Amino acid sequence: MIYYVITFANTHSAISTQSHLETCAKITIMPTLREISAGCGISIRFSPEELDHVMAGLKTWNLSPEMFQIYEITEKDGKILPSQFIDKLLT
Amino acid sequence: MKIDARGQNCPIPVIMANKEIEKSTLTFTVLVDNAIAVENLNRLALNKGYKVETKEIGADFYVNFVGDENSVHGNSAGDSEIVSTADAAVHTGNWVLFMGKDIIGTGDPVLGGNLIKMYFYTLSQGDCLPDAILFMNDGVKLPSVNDQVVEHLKVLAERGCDILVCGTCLDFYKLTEQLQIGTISNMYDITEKINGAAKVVTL
Repeated sequence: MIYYVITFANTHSAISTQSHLETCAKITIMPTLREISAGCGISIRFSPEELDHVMAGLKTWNLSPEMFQIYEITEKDGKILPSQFIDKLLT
Repeated sequence: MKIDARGQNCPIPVIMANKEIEKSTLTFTVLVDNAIAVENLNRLALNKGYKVETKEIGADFYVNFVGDENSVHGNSAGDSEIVSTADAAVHTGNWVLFMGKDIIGTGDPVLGGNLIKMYFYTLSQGDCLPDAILFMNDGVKLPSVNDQVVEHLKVLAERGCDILVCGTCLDFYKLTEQLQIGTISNMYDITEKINGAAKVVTL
């Protein structure tokens, strides 16, 4: 199973981005995975089908790039394998 | 194959039985000495696709697990939902979760709302499940209008948790029609669950 996770540098960025993205994509709030180190314990999860909507939403949100990270998470045999996901749309 | 789990507190009898299931043993008997262990073993059997027959002999219960190769699903895991079901639904015994609010703690309601979503996300993926989740007052908003929490509650219900929602409270907030998961319940049933639990967790 593959899904995406956005982590944040602080809780306020997480909460404000969440409210914004909820208007344009199907997202799930989850605790930041132990496998990922981030400033904030709140993460936003979404499925590959929502990737375009989330990216479009982030583009209009203008959150500075150092405030968040996007990870692609692969769950295989009960193991969680995160890899940093760099999106060209944002740059 | 007989497993003697007498004198063992929950969740040990369930863990012992689960080990046997993981070895793909189709027929075995677990010997326990209390009704709660029988109930938890029944739930384990249901989750794993086994049939159970329980015989009470003296102070002991003989719980016979009978599975066939087509029905048992010891290592099944569904990943089609947004939240996958973890492989083993091991109930760590007799505890219930009481939700009298739709957030965690007191303080900022937006933060508290996020915390409760993350709590149910984590609970639904773990192995330590409550026997029942009870919703009262503001808590009834979770199984009715909180779509993310509803998804997690569906997973918990599938894994054997009883979800009881206060009917008086749903009526008060005019949410009865919007209930998405759980059984509409009353003070008698909810009090019974609380009284019968070894531990009640409130957030």
